[in-house]
Amino acid sequence: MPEAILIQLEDVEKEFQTNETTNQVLKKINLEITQKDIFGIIGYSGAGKSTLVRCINGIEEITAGKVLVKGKDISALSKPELRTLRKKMGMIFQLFNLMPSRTVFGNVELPLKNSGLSKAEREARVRELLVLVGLSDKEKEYPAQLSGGQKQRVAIARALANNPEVLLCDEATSALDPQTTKAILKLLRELNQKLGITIVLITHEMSVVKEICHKVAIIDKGVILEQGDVFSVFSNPQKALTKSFIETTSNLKKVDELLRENSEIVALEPGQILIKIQYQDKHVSEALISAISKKFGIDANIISGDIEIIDEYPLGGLVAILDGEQEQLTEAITFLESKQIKVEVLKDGRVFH
Amino acid sequence: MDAFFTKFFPNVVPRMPEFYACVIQTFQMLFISGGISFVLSLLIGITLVVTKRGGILQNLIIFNILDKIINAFRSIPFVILVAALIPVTRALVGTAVGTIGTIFPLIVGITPFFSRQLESAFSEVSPGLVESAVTMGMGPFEIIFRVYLREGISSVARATTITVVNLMGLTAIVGIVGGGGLGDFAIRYGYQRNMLDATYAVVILLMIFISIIELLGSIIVEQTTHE
Repeated sequence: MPEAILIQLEDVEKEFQTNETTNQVLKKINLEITQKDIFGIIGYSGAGKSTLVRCINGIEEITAGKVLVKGKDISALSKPELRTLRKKMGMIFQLFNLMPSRTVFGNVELPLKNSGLSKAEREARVRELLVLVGLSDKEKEYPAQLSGGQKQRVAIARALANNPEVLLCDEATSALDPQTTKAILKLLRELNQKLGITIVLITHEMSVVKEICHKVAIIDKGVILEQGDVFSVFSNPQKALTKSFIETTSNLKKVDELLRENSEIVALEPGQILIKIQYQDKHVSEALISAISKKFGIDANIISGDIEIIDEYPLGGLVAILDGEQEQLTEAITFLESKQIKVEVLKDGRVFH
Repeated sequence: MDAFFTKFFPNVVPRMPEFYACVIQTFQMLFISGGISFVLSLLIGITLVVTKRGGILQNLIIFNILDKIINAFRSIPFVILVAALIPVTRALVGTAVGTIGTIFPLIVGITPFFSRQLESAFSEVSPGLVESAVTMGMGPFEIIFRVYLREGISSVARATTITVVNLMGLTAIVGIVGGGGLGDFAIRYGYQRNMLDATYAVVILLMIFISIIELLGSIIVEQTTHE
């Protein structure tokens, strides 16, 4: 059964009025976020992604269009109704925004005040949340005593206090080092699986999207350029910006530089070819290189490779020099293409009679 | 000890009861007007922060009115303000002289300054904290109490210390309307009757008071800062 649509943006526009100029930050945004998705919104700074995420919980009022949460138009909600809705939408930030005067415990307890829970119930809930994020031993410490990763864990616990259905992450890992980023993303993925919470994640880092997102939207100058599930967007990018984002995390591009520089590494002997092969579909990993090697008697010298597991399927490709009989080489390429592999001959040392 | 005081403060020692009375008057002026002004200034300071552009209860009309009133009052030198307020003071408290008569002008004199100090203290609370409170579904009053007042404590303590020191200065000035206090003592004896030791006795005492106030202020700041 397909999961229900949780958040829907219909032709959302947002303008900021400064004295005489109007700055249109979001233009006709259409998005659908399904329950239990991890939805990434990626763009460079100034693309409008932070404004976009703030439209979802009504912190920014939209100029035109509709934001529907569970089918309800949020701009039609009264202020108290909007506040109730926000309690069901946790949010975490790049700079954590923990209250410096409160301990870890106090920070996590904060959203539970005025929730009708007794003091004992609140305490039990806070402890439960701290276990969930792995910080039970830090409850008496102040935010200033914690590392960045620990602060973000506290912020996550705080955001989850009222059992939200959605967690909005505004550049939540951008202030963290790569290792801590991985750990936080792992935690988010676990929460998504364990609690079934929908996650909307704003980032400028492609690696973050690759790591955990199921779906992705690429935003630039207030416009969604492309959206879809991560694998198809990655394997078959349509727009230049999408390609440039993908290249930031791929080293397959490197070979182009080597070719331009006529590097020794890519120098071919007569009869050899230099190819780039890339996965295009959701493939079950196959022993393709050894297959062509056995089948067609080809020697493959792998120059560089970049294969990652995205959404549980391999994505990326290899650059290799193939050496063998001319006809066999041609057949090998046909064989690869028959397996839905994109083959590009970058340099050809074959001599055609 | 007595011999020491008699030697260095020949004009103060015979007037000790009056000197003590002046100390008490100074404290009365300081605490009563300071206490009332603190409450008023908290209200005004918070109102300014939440009603300004981008504030959680943005209301530029209220903000601008308060802002202009504060600027207007701050432009009047305190001595002139005291004289100008005499009819109002008399109408309000029945008298414009004596310690009681000084409370009202002191409040009017210090509140604009105090409000500005507190406004900037609350403005130091990071907008990110306020935003995260909004995302938690907190209402404006919850945000005022749980974020601005709570996270602003150390800045408020700093602002209050500066204000109390300023207010001490104003209590000396209201001596001119018969407010009494240490300022009055120093002027009447030290200045008008040329008993310099009376002035120095007051100076030393005030320096001690101010040091204690600043010490208390910095202890509160330290206790409430967790960085």
